[in-house]
Amino acid sequence: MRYFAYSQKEFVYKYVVMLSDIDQFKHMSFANYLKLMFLATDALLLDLQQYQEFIQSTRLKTYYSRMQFKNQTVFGDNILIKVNSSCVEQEKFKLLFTYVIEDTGTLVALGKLDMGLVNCNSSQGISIPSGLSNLLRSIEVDEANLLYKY
Amino acid sequence: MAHQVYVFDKIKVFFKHTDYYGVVHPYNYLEWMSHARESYFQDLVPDFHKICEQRIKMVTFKVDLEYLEDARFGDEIGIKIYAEKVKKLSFDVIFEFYNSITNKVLARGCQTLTFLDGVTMRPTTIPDELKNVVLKYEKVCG
Amino acid sequence: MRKRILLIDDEDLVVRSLSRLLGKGGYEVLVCRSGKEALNVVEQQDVDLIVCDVRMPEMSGIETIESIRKIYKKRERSSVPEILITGYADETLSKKAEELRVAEYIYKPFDLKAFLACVAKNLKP
Repeated sequence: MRYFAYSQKEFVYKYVVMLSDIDQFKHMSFANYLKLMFLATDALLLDLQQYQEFIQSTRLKTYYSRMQFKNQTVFGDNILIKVNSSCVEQEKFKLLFTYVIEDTGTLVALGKLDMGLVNCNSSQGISIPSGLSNLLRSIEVDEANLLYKY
Repeated sequence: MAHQVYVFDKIKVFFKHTDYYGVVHPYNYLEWMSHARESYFQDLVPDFHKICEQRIKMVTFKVDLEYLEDARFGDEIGIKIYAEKVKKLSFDVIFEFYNSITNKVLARGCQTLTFLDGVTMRPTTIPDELKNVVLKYEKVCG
Repeated sequence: MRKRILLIDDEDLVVRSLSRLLGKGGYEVLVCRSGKEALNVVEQQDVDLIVCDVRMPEMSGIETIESIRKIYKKRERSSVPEILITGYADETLSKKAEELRVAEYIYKPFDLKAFLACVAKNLKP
């Protein structure tokens, strides 16, 4: 039976909340969520062929980030960070992050990054290479019409 | 009446803050926002620690950051802090990161803080001790 | 007469978003925050379609759908299309949904227009 599993176009990064992530209020401190966004982004890029070559000459620059916190996480929680892309243009793109606790499906946080590529030396904006563009398009969604507002 | 601005100017960029390209990694700004915010409240709100341990919990609902200029190893960074949109249940804390030597603005951030009753976990009003301080630092827009 | 949709989900954000969307789409929406609440509703009212979250505390979406079907069978009512929505489902859950032969199985975050089209498609007489 074929299902309408529209949002399976995503990259998933898994993370287990460690004791060192927890503050005195027994929850993962919110700064860690932003760090996880960048970790998930790095993990996504590892899927690129010629990744090493890519990072020698090109720098991924962050122009803007947003995090919205919906629920807390505690030590031992398995978090799934689902990554989608949006507004993929010639030099810029957005990444959308949906944080979910694996066991309960509870929505934990929503994140967004506005990014672009710049030359390592000149810091001038450069076009997204086809390898990265294809990767981003494979997980692209229409942000304006999504269930969650990022 | 002009609003007050709190300055947190204790940040030095170390190697651990930089990324593969020698530039301060963006997530450091969120860590620095946390430090600066806690310093702001600890310095200005009497018995801030006691308030945190009471029934009312301060929760970060949303964080926005705009990255404008690169910072690098050795830079000294200051943060100007003030409040906006102080309402009954929430307010925004605004952060302006600047290079202490050149005064160039490096980044701008905004944290929306809300308050929950620690028992019922329902939204509740900002504690007066906190609100009285925040109002002095509120930039009224428009 | 407006078609009636039973929306079962414990997540506030989803309930608000989908209620508004389905309401604007011209449907009457009955909201339940748990499987147990949904069973009470189904005992008393007819619905034309069910949208149910998979992961809920106490009674999962799969268990809820199975129980609703038992109620329909007992009362000799014809079954209605069921759409399961989930934040994440492992292989076991995906297999269970397949065995249940629900009308649709959708992962969050999903496109709202596509979701509305999916609802309309499954409500066709």
